[in-house]
Amino acid sequence: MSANKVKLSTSDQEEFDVDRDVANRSVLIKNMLEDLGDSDQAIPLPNVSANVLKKVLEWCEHHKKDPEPIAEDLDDNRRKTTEISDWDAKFIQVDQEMLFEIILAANYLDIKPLLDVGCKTVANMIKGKQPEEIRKLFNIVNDFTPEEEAQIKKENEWAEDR
Amino acid sequence: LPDFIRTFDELPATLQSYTIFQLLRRAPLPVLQTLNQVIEPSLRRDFLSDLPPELGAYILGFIDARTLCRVSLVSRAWKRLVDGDALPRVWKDKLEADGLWVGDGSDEQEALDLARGYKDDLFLQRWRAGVWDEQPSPFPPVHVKPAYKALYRRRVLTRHNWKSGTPTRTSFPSSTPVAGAPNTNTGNHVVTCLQFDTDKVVSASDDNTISVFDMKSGTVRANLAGHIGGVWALQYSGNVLVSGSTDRTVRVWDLDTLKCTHAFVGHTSTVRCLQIVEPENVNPDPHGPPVWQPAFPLIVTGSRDFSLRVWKLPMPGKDRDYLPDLSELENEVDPASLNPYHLRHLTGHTQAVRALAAKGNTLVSGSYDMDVRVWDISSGRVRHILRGHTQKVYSVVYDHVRKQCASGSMDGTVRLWSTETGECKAVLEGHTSLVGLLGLTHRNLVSAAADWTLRIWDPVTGACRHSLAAHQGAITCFQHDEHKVISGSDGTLKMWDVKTGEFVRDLLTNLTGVWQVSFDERFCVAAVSRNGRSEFEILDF
Repeated sequence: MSANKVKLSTSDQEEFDVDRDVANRSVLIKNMLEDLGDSDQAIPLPNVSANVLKKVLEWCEHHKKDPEPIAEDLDDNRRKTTEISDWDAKFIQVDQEMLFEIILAANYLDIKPLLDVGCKTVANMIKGKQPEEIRKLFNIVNDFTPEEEAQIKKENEWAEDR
Repeated sequence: LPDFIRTFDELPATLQSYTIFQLLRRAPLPVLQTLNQVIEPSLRRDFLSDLPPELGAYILGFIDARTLCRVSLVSRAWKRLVDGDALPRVWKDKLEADGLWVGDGSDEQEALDLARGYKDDLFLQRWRAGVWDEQPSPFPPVHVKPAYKALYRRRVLTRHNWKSGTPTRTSFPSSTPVAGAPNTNTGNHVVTCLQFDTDKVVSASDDNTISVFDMKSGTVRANLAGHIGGVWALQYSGNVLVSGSTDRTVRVWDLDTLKCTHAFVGHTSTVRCLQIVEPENVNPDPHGPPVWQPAFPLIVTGSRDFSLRVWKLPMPGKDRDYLPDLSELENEVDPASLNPYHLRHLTGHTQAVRALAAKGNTLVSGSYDMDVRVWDISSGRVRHILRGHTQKVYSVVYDHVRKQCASGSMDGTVRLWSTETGECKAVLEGHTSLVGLLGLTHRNLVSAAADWTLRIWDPVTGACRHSLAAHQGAITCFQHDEHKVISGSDGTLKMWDVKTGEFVRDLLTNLTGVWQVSFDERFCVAAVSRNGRSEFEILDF
């Protein structure tokens, strides 16, 4: 196997041959490769299925030349904005189930920028919406009693007043 | 049909998909619409309930406070994630992200107070009940969860109210006579000290009296008479008040009975500064038995007689009164040696002691001899003599968390010292005349000078962050917290943004002078001079 290629094996036993710099976007894989040294063995990813990994690798391929983020920058800046680049916004236009799986996979594979794209997307879906709109959007049942709901609304008045 | 389904079940996955696809292609529109209604909701995801809580909290970190409140109305599971105080703490993160978190331990305490519904520290709670040193504690620890959402709400609203709200204003003269008592006040005395709580305003003045006003009505509850010289130092804690005067005595008063219970003699000149040192529980295990430092509450006094003294704080009603005949003590060499409450006499300064700051077992004093001294209270020994100022020292603050202190001097500088090693960590230059006042919070050190400005410094590096220049006279008083600075000068009481250093607004104008200012979450109390009369102003935000 070429030193520039890495073999990944998914939860549903599919194998992917991936460029090393693409796979390195995942800190988990990068660390594993460093620990293993050169090896022909496929890296098992028991928490990721093939269709999700395919999507994740698509993102990694596009972002393989991104500079390494600076640690401090990450913490300071990523929370301040929910802006997403055009390419990422298009990439993340998927059904909720896939979005859910991408977030889980990005978290497991330790791909912070992709995790941010996923989480910001969910945050943007929620932002500015009323509770009923949010329930409808995510197919959630309102399990509060009317009394409880009134009570919480009262507790929250301060935020709506301003 | 059963055969067809059995055959389908036996197919490999890829062929199954292909079969379904072929069937869908043949389905009429109404069927597709019905199917869509079944399929679409099943592809929806209750992200916040289904993701691990730390990822849910991470998503919520991108969401503003108003939406967070709406999110808590979606379902019980969502409310638990947003408002729950188990880890991860969404509102705590929000406090941090929005710059409302201080990070010195005070935030957690305040959140606990909010959850408990009242503000009280362990020592004061026990002190009031008269059982503060009893073991085991008559007050078993109450297990409440800190209310970070309530803390966020409080801080956002407080900030908003002070910045743009219109406070309710109450004014009253500082010399209202008590019914039946002769009015000896001329109406234009200097208000030297000011402290208040939700119940009362206590002030001292150079006309020898201490006054207690009702916070709500502004009427005088009592004038505490006894000192025969101006009162220049005062502090109360719970129901006990301590005052120091040019008459060289320290007096202790019971705020419940409004009587003087103790008179301490020993200083041979004006008592210029004092502090009550409350014991703090230093046991790192919050559930273990408290370990108090100091072992009991103390009074530390600094005097123009070049020395400091340490006294045991008497508990009114429990410790017996001590009101010696002062004329009899005149001839004693050291009258304090007869006083059971006197503990230490700290000598070494060669000029008047002007300022002090104490916490735990450490005392910092600043003197007109240009030195700052760091003392070990329990032994009375000097730990360090901090030399560097080239003029009188007028103000000191002590930062027990960072083990350092700061001093302000007539030489125009503020110096930052390590109380561990005694070295000067930084000389803070910028003021062009006497630095008379210093204030310290976890994130900011603030100095006020006779050069009409205040300066905000980084307490770690000593770097100057902002210079506050808009006053038209020497700064006479100020207080700051983590959001604002409120300062008084000749004609106005001004508010500044501590973060940006910008002038926010005038709280009071058209004054002759501002003697003192003090504020808490809700109230700002100022002792001012207007048209030659001393008055109090209470602003309720």
